[in-house]
Amino acid sequence: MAITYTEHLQIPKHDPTDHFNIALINEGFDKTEAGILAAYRGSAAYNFLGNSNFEINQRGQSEYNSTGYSFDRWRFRSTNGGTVQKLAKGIRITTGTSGICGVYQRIATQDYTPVFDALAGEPVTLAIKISANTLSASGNSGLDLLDHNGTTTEGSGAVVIARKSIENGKTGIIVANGTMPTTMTNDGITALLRTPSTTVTGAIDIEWMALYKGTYTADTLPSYMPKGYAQELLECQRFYFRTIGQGYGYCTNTSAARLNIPIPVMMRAVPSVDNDSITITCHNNGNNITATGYSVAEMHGASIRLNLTSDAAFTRYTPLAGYASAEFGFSAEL
Amino acid sequence: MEHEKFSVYIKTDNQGRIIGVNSDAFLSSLDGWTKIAEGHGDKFHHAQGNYLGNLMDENGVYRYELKNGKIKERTKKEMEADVQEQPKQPTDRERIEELERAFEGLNKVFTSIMQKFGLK
Repeated sequence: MAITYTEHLQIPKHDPTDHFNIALINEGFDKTEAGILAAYRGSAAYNFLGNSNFEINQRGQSEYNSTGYSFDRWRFRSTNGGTVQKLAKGIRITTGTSGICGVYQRIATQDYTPVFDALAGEPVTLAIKISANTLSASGNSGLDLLDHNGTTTEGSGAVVIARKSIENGKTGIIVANGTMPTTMTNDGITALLRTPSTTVTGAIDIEWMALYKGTYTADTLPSYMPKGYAQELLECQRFYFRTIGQGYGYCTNTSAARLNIPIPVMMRAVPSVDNDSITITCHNNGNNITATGYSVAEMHGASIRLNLTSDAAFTRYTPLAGYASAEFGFSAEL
Repeated sequence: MEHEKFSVYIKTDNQGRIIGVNSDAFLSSLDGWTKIAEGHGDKFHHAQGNYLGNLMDENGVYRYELKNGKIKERTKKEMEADVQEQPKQPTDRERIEELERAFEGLNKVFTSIMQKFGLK
């Protein structure tokens, strides 16, 4: 009897004339598994990481070589000369002479819990796609999801939610599975990729990272789908916004004025000015005045108000325009 | 990776009024700044706008001072005294009256000269 197949996935149907056709049975299993995997991968899941493909870079450097914020939402740890640079797709971490380098994103803290609240108590998968890996060291890299609670289960005072060791040279999609704690009682949650802590050479290229709700393997992981540049940019600008600080306001007294600087989206928290060397130049009542000082006062909707001071140079109850001496960032980073 | 604490610093003028608040995350130099607290979270990390809130009122008068090592809200009397100290700008009416007086004075001098020379 001729073998028949299902309509869509071409899975072979049972042959009643040959009950123990092993090859046919196994072909059925293989095609069924392939069909299930295709169904998993075809559906995109929500990625709880921001700027997951490192495209947003308001700070504007092509390479970062010191510990601190780099590409939006991602903090870079540099040890002994390590650098992180932008590639056409993703980033490259080049290690220093020794010590851990890495990129990490703070997902939630006590002040900011929306991401944590959506995942509290749930199984989660942290994933990474490594497109190239020339690291050479006696230890491995690590993909971690950490819960910083001040205890000493980790050297940095963190509990491991999910962890996967990454061998030198390994590429492709790698996942770490775990379960998010049920309550936020700790200092914060961090997702990170770290290079070995021993003497190390080489580099690792990361195309994207993702945090999904659910337990997945590298084979069943939902298809990676970036959120779109505009959406990513606006989400990042809730945490960091680069500006020349141009705005308008008014003088409340001869020595005091208010300057309102527009922002594209209300930020996560009242931000800090990240450059303490800037000055504010004001145009008021036909005069060009350099404010003697400024302080961040409030955030009202889509603007940040700075309070300005001067040596009695303002004209009371008159309008004012102002701008900063250099570009700076409003930072509400975690 | 590290999950560091942030330190909060304040700057005071020569009368102890707090004229600046910042965290060590954003200070390039600590000269002239006094550490007052440390911790996790926005209050410490983004101390500029979150530790004390608005540093001055609508008149540009500072609301806080450092006294005996502690931050204290200034009293209404202390703040009103600062307003009194601020140089006042003349109003438009005051400016016009002053111009009128000056013009009247000039007019008297001119009339006197004219009379002296028999021109009036």
